[in-house]
Amino acid sequence: MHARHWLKGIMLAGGLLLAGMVQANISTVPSETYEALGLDRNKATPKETYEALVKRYKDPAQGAGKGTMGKYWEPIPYSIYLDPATFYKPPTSMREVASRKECVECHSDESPVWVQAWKRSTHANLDKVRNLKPEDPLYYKKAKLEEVEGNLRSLGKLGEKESLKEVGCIDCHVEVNAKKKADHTKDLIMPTADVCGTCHLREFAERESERDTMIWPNGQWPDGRPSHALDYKANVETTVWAAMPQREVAEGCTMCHTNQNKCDSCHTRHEFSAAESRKPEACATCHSGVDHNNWETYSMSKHGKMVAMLGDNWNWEVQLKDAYAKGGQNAPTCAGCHFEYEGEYSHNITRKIRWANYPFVPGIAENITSDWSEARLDSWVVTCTQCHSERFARSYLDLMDKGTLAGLAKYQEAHEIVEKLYKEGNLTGQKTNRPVPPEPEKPGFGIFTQLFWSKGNNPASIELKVLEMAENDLAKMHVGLAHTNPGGWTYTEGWGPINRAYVEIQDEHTKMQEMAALQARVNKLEGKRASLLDLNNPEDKISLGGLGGGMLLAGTLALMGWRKRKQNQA
Amino acid sequence: MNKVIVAAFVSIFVLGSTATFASGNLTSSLAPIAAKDLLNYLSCKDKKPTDVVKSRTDVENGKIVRVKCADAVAVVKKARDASGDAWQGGY
Repeated sequence: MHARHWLKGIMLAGGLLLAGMVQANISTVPSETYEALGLDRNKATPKETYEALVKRYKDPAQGAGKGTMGKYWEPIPYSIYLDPATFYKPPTSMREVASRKECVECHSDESPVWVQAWKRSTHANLDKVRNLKPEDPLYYKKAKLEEVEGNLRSLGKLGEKESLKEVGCIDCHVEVNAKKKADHTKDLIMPTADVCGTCHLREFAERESERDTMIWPNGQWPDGRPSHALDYKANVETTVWAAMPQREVAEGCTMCHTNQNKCDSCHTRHEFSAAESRKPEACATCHSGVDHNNWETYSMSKHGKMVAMLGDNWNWEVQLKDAYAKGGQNAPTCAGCHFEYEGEYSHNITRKIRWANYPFVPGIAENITSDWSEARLDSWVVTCTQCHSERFARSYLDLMDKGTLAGLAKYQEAHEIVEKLYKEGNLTGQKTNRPVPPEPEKPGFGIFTQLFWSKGNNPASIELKVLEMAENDLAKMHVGLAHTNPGGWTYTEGWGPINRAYVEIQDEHTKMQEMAALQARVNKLEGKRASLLDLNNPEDKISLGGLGGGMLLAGTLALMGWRKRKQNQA
Repeated sequence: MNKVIVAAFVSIFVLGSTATFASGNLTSSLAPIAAKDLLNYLSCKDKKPTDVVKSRTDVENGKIVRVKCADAVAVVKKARDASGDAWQGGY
């Protein structure tokens, strides 16, 4: 009997050890991240990995909190949801102490759609995942659930023999696998990325690895950017964002920069559907608009149009890895292209970045032929050749690069003209009506701040035009090229608007020169009338000399006449 | 001494950089090369120095400007030399 217990114990310990080993190395997390965290990927437990990730994630020196310009801005009420870790406090209005079950019951009345969406979510139906059959295309979820349970056991949040029953309100909004009641006024939290990462360590670690894989060779962008992992940091470190008084406008920017803080932007609350996040629409709210029209231009491309026409027939529930084979997908999506790297799919979407949207950023174009960039181009070719031949893919990507440079060259020509005006102090109002921007911004020419703040003639119209030519039109030209929308870099966006901006800059410049010439002539004319004694030409001198001589002659004659009359009288 | 000259040269390029900035990115350690020069350089890939290519940007007197590959390559080489170790290889 005793021997049987011993055997059981040994088997359990062996099983746990094995489970621990299986869980330790998260295959889809790049080595750069393990190195940056000082972890041995073959030895680190989920607990150690999670704790190292969260330590960095919550470190203000690594981008958490208000940032380096924190003293210049204050949160508005809505900010508590955009950066909960910094600002969220539980509401004091509901004085409830509630159990797991009571959350659901009460919120069935308070916020019924939350509950309805959650009830049909995977989070509320874990047994369905457990019962998946190997032939089911969603079978991969079963392994994911087991991995989640392994993570929670490593963290001590789930018993060794305990199964995760559900992921309910209380798990995300108070504590994972909470057993006790929660005080609504004290314990409530908004689940940030690290909360999701307690279970979804793999996805959290993949996402956090963007900090380590997006390192530019020449500091073209700050380390780890652009990325989802540091999008909030990028937001609060944008000077005008911190400086501008219109906080509600600025928080519109924040709403597209919260991936760092929370994980519900692509797979939205409270259904958290992975199928939803695989659809192009998931990215559209943020990846759209005047300076990065990815959504618009992708949607208009054949790729995007095929999704619109055929996507209803695809099984979006299958994981990206199986989308083409099992999902029936026959055109690329945002997630399908950008989450893929060398045939593997992860939440790190930085490893193929070359242009980073804005071709005019210093060192970006110069770097486009580097080995660093070429290796990333090769990775893109891997993506494209799931459907296209390598020759087709490379010929198009060559077109994309050179087309982008053509737009950049046109912008640079216009920029040179306007910058010269600035250096000479000749922008409209430059010397008379150019107020300084709000602190801590410094005055400058063609700065990002001028897209969001203006006063008097700061910026000047021609300055804003050339700034928008780059930030908007050139960026869209590249985006159109990158997303294969012909009208998106020729007529409708890109070249057409760039051409117009160039024409109007040349037009305005010529008018300014003509006006300056006219002004010079007027100044000259005004100069003649400055003083009667300011004689600039011989005619003036002769005239005044003649007048003086005449007056002298008249005076002499009058004096002579006066003397003669005096003599006669005498 | 040469290093000082190169550093001064690079500084002038960097500080004199005419580009506008998206949020956050301020400078790069690569010496700037105009996009038109990069296009000429790319057009001259796998060509002889004596070969002549059409500019992808410039028109003068109603004709597309012709560029000698030796000149196009020299422009880029000068910038790469100024970049020093910042250029870590590539075309």
